Amino acid sequence: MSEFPSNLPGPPWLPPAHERRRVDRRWLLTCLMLAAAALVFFGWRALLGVAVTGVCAAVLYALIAWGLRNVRWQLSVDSLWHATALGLLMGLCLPVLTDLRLAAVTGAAIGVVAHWLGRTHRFRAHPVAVVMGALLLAGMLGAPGTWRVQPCLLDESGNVLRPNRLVLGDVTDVNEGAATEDARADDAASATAMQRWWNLSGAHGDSDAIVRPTPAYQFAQHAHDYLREPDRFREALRSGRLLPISELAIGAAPGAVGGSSLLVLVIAGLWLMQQRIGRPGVALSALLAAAAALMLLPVRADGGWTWALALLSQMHLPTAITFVTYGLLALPVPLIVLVLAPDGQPISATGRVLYGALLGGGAIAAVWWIKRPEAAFVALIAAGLIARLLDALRRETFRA
Amino acid sequence: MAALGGGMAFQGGITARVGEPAEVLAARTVWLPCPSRPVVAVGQRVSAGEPLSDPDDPAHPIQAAPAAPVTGTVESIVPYTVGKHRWHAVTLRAAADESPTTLALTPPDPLDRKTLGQLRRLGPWAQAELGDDLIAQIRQVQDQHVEAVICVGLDAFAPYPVRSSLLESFPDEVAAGTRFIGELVGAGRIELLVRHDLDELRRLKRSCRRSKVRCKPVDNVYPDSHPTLVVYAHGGGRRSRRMLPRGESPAARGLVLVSPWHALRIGRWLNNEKLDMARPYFVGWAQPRMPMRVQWAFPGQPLAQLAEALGGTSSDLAGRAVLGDPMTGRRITSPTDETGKPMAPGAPADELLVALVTEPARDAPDPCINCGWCADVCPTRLQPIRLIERGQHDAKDPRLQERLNWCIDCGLCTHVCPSQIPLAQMLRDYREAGSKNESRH
Repeated sequence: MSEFPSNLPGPPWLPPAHERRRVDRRWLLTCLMLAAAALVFFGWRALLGVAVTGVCAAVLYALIAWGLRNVRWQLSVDSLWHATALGLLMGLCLPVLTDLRLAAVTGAAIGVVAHWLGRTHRFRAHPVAVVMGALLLAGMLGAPGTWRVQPCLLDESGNVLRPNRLVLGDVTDVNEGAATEDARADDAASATAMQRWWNLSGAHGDSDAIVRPTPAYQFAQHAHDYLREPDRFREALRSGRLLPISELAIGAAPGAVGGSSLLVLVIAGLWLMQQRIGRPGVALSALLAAAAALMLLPVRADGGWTWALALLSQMHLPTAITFVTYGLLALPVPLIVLVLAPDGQPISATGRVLYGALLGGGAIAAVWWIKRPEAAFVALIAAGLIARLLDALRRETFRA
Repeated sequence: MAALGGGMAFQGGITARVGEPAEVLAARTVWLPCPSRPVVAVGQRVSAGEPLSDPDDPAHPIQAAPAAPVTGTVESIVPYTVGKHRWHAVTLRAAADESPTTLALTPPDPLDRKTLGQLRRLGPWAQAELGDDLIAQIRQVQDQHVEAVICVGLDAFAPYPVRSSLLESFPDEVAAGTRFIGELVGAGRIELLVRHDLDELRRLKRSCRRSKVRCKPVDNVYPDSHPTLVVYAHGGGRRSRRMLPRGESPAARGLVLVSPWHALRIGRWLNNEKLDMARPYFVGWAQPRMPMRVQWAFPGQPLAQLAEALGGTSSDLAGRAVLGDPMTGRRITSPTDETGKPMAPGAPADELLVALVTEPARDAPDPCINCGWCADVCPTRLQPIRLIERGQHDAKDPRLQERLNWCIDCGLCTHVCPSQIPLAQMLRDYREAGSKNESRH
């Protein structure tokens, strides 16, 4: 039974301007937009993972709702459409998976968690963030390989090519772009991109393929090193060890299939804002706080601790700006801030700004210390838990 | 101008051209609600313009007394209760089938001390949407400095542009009437608030210049015409002085708010040396953008005579028509006569708009999804859903009741809620629970 009375007479005697179905449809459309980008960049396998999480979330949500209704006479509090959207978002936060059991389990977890956490509940921790946090914990506690979210595209079983794939030839002879006929493989200046990637791997002599960590993982692991040794950061970018910023912005950056393209995320975020579901205040304060955190968090250097800003100020300005920008783009901060954060944000304008600041700064801080990109989702959990407190921060114009 | 944010811009309706009233109108019976003790008796003959109740009733010392709109005989006097107040419905049977719509009277002089007393006997001057009777406001500011007289020409609800229609049809008279009231109370400022996109804005500005009234075109975002928001935005002075809680008269802040109809009525009186006893009623349709229909009628005349669409019986009107706009209007109710039968609903004395509405189909409310749209749209910056949660715990919580003083009942929170929670209705119930609690103590 609804906690609110129905059939109370007006005024107003106007039909309602909005319906909850419309809000839920907007969420589904956002997920479809990101899924379409995932399909373009990563192929059908990415879409399959997203679909599995969505379906599992919907099925579990419906089953539990049925159970609650029949056993405890309690109606489910949110809609099945929204639970499905949460499931799709879960899939979009995962990398391309060859083992879909992880997709199924995380989707099912969403279907369970959404009954007790989220936008309609007292504690508005985002269900996707909670499940990602659980995955992070499982990885840190040493869960078996299949159940860990790997920093790269593939699982730990070592499969790289499928049995029906056959590659003939020498990868160092691949001509790509403007390679000249007399270019030598060990000449970095004239090497093709494929040769550069191959040469940077650890065991290219006996290997048939190489596996590279995602930019998010690389940055999370090595951010402190890059600050202490700016040359190393510049070399990593120049040589291709770190994916160029342009590829992070446009798309196909390995990692979360829904968060690979900043361009698509910005479009999705702006669209949510235009629909008044997302808010510019949250996004702006989050991004500013994230940038500030990247500059202000402490780093161990020369036997002691210092602020990141102190080390950044010793770099060339373009390098410092690139470092901060890389951190913002490589980590899942845009995905969290632009797409996930609007669900369960505070309802007061001041509260939203603080929520965004906590989210952006907290995400960077969590990654800074835990050194895993999934740690950024912990900030979303924390921000959601205090969203209700932040609601009270509203400037009341009229007060006796 | 202080801006609060909030509110909602509705698409404006088509203004209606209000013509001059006919010299006579058919009116068999009229009944008027009298807030104070009637001074007439059943069977007594009264003339048009004669007060029906005691203007000096100590129980209602500052309100105006309604004057008989037609010459006729008192047919019945029925007491009834509205909330905590006792009223009397005085029914007149007109002496003739048709009655003159105006009364020949020498126009008053704003600087004459007797003018206010004259106006008090020629009511009603009720202005439901502006918080207080015009005469009541003038009486309250009599011995104090009056910051401003503001004629609120902003439409209460843009799809039904009643006030804009009056301004466009009679700009000179509205300006002259506003000036008159300003001089009557000795106001520091005399202003006319209008929509900045009014079709006849230029003509209205010329009229205002001639009458030395300041014309102020502003945005008309619903519900900017509410007294609380008018006083806050245009009151002048310290912010604390500009805060007007719900139910309090603008006169308490040194302001007099006038509706365009009353300004027009006085302006026409000054021009024509005749006081209008009939008034223009607007019938608004449920279909959007359908032009309003305007008809002159006497206050208290059966509503059914206003337009064919209103139907002929009380049961036809019940559930279809509201007095005022669909956001803030009130159901048509009428007292029961001595036999226990409800009286035929009469044209209201405090409202010019009768809107035909259909009860919107509402699904059962869903849980709140914390979208924040109710808080965004609230013109007084409350958080309706949080107030509801507090009210569900304890409707008589003093902190809740204090905040509800600033709920102006605009209905926007209910209108925008995607979960279709009846926010405005529940807040109204909590307020009533709080006021019952107060009266008990």
